[in-house]
Amino acid sequence: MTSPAIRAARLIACVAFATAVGLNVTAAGMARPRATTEAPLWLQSPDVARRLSLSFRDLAADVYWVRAVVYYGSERLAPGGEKRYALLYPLLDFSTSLDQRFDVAYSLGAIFLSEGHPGGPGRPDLALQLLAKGRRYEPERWQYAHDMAFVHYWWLKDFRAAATHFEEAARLPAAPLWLRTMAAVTLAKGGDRDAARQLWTQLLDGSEVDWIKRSAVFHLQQIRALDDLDALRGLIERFTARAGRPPSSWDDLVRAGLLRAVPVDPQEVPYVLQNGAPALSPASSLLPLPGHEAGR
Amino acid sequence: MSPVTVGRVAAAVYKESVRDRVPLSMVFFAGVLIAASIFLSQLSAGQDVKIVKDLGLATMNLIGLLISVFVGTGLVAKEIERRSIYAVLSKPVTRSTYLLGKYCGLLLTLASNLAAMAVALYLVLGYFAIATPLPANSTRPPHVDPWLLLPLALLFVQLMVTTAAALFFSTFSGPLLTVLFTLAFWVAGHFGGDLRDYGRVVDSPIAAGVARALYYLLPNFGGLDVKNEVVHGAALDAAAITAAVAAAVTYAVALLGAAAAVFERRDLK
Repeated sequence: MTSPAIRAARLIACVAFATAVGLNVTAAGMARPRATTEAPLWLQSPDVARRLSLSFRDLAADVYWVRAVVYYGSERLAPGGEKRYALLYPLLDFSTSLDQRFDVAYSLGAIFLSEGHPGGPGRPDLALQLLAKGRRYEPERWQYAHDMAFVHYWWLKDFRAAATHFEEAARLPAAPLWLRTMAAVTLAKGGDRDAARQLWTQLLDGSEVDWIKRSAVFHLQQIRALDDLDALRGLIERFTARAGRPPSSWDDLVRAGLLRAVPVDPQEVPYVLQNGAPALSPASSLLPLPGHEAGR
Repeated sequence: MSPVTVGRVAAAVYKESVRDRVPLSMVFFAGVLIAASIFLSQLSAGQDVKIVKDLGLATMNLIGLLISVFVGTGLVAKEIERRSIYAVLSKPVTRSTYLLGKYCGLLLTLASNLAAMAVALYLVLGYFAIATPLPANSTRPPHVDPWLLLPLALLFVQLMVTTAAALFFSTFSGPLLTVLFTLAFWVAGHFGGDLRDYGRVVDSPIAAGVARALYYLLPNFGGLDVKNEVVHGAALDAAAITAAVAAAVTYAVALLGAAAAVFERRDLK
């Protein structure tokens, strides 16, 4: 038999707990959204963090990595305004200093840092710095040299530097055979869309990380959109030559038998006609297309 | 010193720790933490298995250390406080046998707790192996990686030294000081590399000499930490690991010897 005192205590505990949860729910509904502020970095030196974390370095590296991913995601998804990404490189630097073999933090971190404005930080210079650090710790790992080549090729349009890094990557142990041709392709067809498509396809096929694959798919879709826009320009020219005026809408091209339906981009968003020229819809997430983004 | 008597004392310590429930609740907590890593890993951009392995191994390290320090420091002190030690020592049991039995009992407790936590970790990794299998051409270590047992075995060696240190300190100081000494000893054991390289950053040859002497005097737990190499599937230096294990075991023997020497002379009245 339970004594009345114990029963009363249990009842009080249950009621108080339910009330506390109810109050929390009410308070959450009343809270005003806080202005976004940069979360502080409590430690300023990765070297100090390395010493303080004792035998828990890898876990500390994971914590900084998760912080970097969450920080990047929340900045990227934040509506409008200037996106600063001020903490992104320090967080990645901490993570890779604590776990110097954290290959994904270097590779994916470089992709995060390189992404152009307005969505990304537009800092390929920091991406190269991060990858160079990875190469210092693991000079035999061809992937870092390949990633550096990639940043030079895609974001900095420095095809000579890209070719040099591809050559370096190809010379490293366990480097795949296709890397040998990349240096030549880069020099011969620098800026060529097919070469870029080849690069992203290799990244898509070669990576085991979903996020890197997703990034490759996204950029391949951008390249396809550029191809689509070229093709649409050709059709518009043909229509203009035939009709003696530019089309006022896609329906003109459909009626003329040049298109079967309103053309859509690789993400199924219809292309738009602006002053007689084809363009991506402002609603398309493929914007800005390569060559149209601002860099820092 | 009879091995049978050592075994009996060890069995008594093991039974008491099971009855005590403190290590058990810690193991339960570790199991929950390892399982919770499934949720944490959702924020890791594909690094879920790495995070589960890191978190699992770090949790085992922490829980093992806590059991070693807090149970280890109370092994002798509690018996003296309760005066139950007189009953044991009035029998044909030498003080050294008693101490060694206590030590072996705690090691048995630690080993069984680490084994329980390892099972929890492998279960979670098994879940990932089914839910997100690695591609056939993957160069990464498998999710359910038998090599993970190596850092666990080396953690056990680390805990052998830490427990011996806790026992040693508890033979001449109170529980609070013993905890502080043991934790300081464990922390110092992780600064081996810094102590070794201290001479490169200071001008004073005396300071460099003291640092070098401390480097040789203190255990080097860094050599017993291969978590990072195993999680990344990197090459391991078998000779260096063997040397670190041999040094650690010798260190534990030295600490037990010193503990026995102090305890034999201690006035228990």
